Amino acid sequence: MKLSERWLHSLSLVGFFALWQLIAQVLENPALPAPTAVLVSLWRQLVAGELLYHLGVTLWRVLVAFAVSMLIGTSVGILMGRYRAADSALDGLLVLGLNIPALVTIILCYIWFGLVEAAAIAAVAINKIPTVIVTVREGARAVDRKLLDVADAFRLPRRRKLLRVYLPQLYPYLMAAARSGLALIWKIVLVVELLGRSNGVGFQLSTYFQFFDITNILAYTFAFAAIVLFVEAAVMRPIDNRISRWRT
Amino acid sequence: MTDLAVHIDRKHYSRDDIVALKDLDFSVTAGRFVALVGPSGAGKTTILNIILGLDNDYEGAVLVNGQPLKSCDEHPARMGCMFQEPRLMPWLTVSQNLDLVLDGQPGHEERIHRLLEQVELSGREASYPGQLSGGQQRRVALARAFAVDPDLMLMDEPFVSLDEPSANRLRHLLLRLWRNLRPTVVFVTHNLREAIALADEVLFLSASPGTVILRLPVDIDRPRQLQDPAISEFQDCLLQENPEILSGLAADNPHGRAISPREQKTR
Repeated sequence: MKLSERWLHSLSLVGFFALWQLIAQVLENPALPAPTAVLVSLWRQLVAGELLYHLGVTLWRVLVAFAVSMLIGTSVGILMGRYRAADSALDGLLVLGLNIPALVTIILCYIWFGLVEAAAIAAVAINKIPTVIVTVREGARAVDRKLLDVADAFRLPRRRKLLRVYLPQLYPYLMAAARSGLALIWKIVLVVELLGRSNGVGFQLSTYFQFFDITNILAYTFAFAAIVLFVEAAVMRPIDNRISRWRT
Repeated sequence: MTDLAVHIDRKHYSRDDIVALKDLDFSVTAGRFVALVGPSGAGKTTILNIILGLDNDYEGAVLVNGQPLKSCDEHPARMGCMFQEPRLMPWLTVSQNLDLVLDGQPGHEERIHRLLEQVELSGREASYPGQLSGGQQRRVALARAFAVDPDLMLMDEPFVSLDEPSANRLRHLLLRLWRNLRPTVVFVTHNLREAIALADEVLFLSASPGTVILRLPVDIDRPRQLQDPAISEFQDCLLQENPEILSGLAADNPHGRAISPREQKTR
């Protein structure tokens, strides 16, 4: 980003918060707390340690569900992209999986497996896996056969062929799946927590909802947004830069 | 040193059941440079894919030092190859592309360094293929082909679609590397002049289904210069003696450039 673009970027955010602050002060309605009030409440929660605990629990669930979804989704995606038979066999299920509402899988998982951690994770993963499959399958179909021929002609061992010839062609697709995956998983984990867990950000939000405590709801939202931005800047972008260095 | 013998009774293209190769027989003595020349569609690339082990769907046998080759995983010889396109991994640097086929063998760094020197690309180790010109990419591909210290070298029109000075430079580099390492070479081309300039022997293939119709030793002294009058003489002589089999080839082209089918029609 150029300097002027970065200015515009932050200017829009600053403008948004300024406007919010202004309206909140004019209205003086508890349904719309001012950003400053939210920040104060955020700080209080942070000092009390409660916020960090619930954020930690939620993050852990996100991480596990993400890992499970990527692992299964990538394997099945490669299989379907590579083998026509696998594609025909699983395509119907895939379309079904893509279109089942998240709420339905969550409820069913809780009913079938009980209100346990594994059910929560499974519900999130089931929602995410189909979209990973679709993206990775696209990548596996686009793999350049000619480069694989080079690997075969030079008798590269399987492992080296996979790591240095095959997977690099999939990286852009894996990256896209990971990005959209995280965005979706954050959201579903909160719903899962709201419906059937006794800790985590989703659970806290439901509690504050019952008290109409909008300030604290927004405080948690702020904290959450901060983490998402941090993950993007500290994890996703460096990885992205590293694997697309050759495109410059 | 590696002897190569190819007997292909029949090879179909799986898609439409067309016979691509029929009763194709030739052998190459160890250390010799053989050029395969034939019109487009004669199955030249198919032959190379079969020898490389990339295509196992044929009736016949390929013998390397007398041993049959059937599986893709095992090959009785160390092989180097060059394709029509450079086919470098765009996400690997020049030296990583060479390292890919060397797999950290002892002394691989010096080897990469020396090879890049030999193809006149010193200092470009850290460049990505996308940052190189077409000719430079081919030179990396040439270095990669020789990196494995091959017994058998298979080349599929490796210098096609290059401008003539770049192609000549690559031919020159190829001959130098071949002279030092002496692999057995099968070099596919449809450029007759290129074949005569490079090879010990030229095999002519018929149009589809491909089979060998003429075997011609090239008795021009080495080292050869590509502009040698002897090459032109040899070519002219050949054209006069065998006009019928050379139709469809880029024979009457003074620059040795291949003629596209469209150009041929207008002549």
